[in-house]
Amino acid sequence: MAVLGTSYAFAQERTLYWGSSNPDVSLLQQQLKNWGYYRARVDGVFGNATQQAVINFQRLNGLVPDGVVGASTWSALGYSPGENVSYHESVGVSRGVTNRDEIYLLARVIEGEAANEPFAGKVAVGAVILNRLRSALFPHTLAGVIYQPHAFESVANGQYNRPASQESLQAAAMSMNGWDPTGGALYFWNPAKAISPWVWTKNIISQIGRHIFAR
Amino acid sequence: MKDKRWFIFIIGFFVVLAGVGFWGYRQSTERRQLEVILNNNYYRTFYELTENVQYLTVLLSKILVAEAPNQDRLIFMEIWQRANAAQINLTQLPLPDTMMIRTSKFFTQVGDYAYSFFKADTPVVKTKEKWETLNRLYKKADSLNTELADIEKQLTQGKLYLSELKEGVSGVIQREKPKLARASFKDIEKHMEDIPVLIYDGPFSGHLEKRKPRAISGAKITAPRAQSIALTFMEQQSSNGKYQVKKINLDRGKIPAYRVELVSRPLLSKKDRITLAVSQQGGQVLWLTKARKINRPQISLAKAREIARRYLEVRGYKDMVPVYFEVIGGMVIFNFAATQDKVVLYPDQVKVTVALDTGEVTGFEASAFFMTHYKRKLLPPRLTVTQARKKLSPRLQVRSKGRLVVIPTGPEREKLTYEFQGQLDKDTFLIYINALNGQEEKLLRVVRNKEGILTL
Repeated sequence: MAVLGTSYAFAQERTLYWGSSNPDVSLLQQQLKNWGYYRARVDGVFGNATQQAVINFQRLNGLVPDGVVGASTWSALGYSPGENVSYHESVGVSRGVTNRDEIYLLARVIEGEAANEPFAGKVAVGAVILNRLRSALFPHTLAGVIYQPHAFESVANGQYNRPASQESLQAAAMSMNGWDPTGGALYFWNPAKAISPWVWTKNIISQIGRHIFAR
Repeated sequence: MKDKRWFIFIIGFFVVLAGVGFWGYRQSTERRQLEVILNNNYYRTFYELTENVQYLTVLLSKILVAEAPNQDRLIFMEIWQRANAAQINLTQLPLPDTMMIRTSKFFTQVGDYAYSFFKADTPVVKTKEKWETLNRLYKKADSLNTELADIEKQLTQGKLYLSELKEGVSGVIQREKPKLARASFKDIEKHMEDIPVLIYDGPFSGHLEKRKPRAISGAKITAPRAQSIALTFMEQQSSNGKYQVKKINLDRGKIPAYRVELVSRPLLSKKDRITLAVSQQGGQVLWLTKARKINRPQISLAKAREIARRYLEVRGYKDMVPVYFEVIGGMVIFNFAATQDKVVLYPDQVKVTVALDTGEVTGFEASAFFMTHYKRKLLPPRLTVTQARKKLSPRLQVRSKGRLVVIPTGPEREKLTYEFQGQLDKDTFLIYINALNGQEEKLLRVVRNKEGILTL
């Protein structure tokens, strides 16, 4: 059923440097050429051009740019990893640099869910949505959380399509920047409305306006 | 004559009837088409889920026997991807958002756990405990796989349906009506009860939920004490005027706190309400919000920044440096980071919002700061700034001198780095070079627009 792509089956351990000349050098040159670091002929001789390509490759891949192909460079090239290989964490945009579209989407859901709530209650609804993003229990993207079926009433009935007010926009921006009046809530509900009895098993944190917040 | 009128009437009646019938027919076909489109989407998601769980099961069984480190790494990477994809599929099915949380958590943690192996600096070591954990995860995935296969069978036989919008089979003649698949999913969720607690180095690790605030200490305070702290905090700058407490609640969030509601005295507007939270332990002001309509901007960003800086300084936040700002909805949000011996501590941030019409401070946020702030033991850098600069890509046009900063590199993990700003064509990047070993730790791209920019 499931077939794993096999890794490169080269048991490559040999260190290469300026002056090396063996089949491994060809392998190195070919790979560097494939990735656009090396432009000269693949001739199996580690010369100046090869060394420059290796240094460029190392620099751009977070390796020590010494022009020597050791275990970590081999590994970064996609061949058998030696010891002490460093893999980079997925690179993302900083938390501070927020996506404007996401603020507007969040603002519309806040408007749909909490238009008549006090300001702190609006920020709190935004915070719950963002707390879900960081929770293992919920989807890990904003759109995933907002459009999860049955998650938000105003999304299910289309009410969130109304334009957001200035206040909802402010609330969205503030929750994106870390304001969380709920102190980590994952759920909120209006006790006056028909709700599943299940919610009352959650740990209630607070009530802000007409909403109860819990985790 | 009379007969003719009757005749016209009857003809008219049938024309209208035919019209209504045609309209109704059109409506029902359209509705059926929409149902089919919607249901097809749900079915696709479901089949993707079963496929991902199948792969996940096989991969988890493989990892139990794989021995070569590079083989391990590959398998862990694929587990990570499959588990993530399965989690996305699951949360897109038309089930109540609270129904599948354990299963959802299972996928998230399996993925995150596998990723922690994948990204580890040292070759993967599967200790006995880790092997046991993986084995238990495999068993869980395996039974999940079986249960999903069972649901799949019933779906294809028409005994179950996914969406609450039934396909047009709601006929009267059917002997056994199809049932909503929800109940079957509920069973799956029930069997997820005893998944092991996973502790590892990843953002969804089990131990992080119980994190304690680092900068909160001291005795518990009473509600009246919280009120007076709130009032002092508000009235610290005389221009803010006088306030009166309207309401006070004790909230049981991550940092238990009194939530105090204030109104200005004399009351200017009914909506002009300020909410702020004072931590129960230690009596620290955690956050503040004030809502009001903001009119046309009158003050410059530089002026607003100075107001924000001063606001913090008066309240005891010294040596804070502005690191980022964002203009939205008539206000500006400034992020300030703490410093220690001139080293910027990015994890420890306090935020202040300033209304751009009058320059009034309308928001303050320090709860994240109280979670992370403490006096670091900073090792002296082993690289000079010149040495660090040499590690940058030669393609970058370096624009900044470089400064020492502490950046978060994972939950509860930080590194001392040099921060450089560089340019490649029109894109701006921030590059973080480890000040101890010269490794590139992080690479951020700065998104500039007229409302926000990372300030350096």
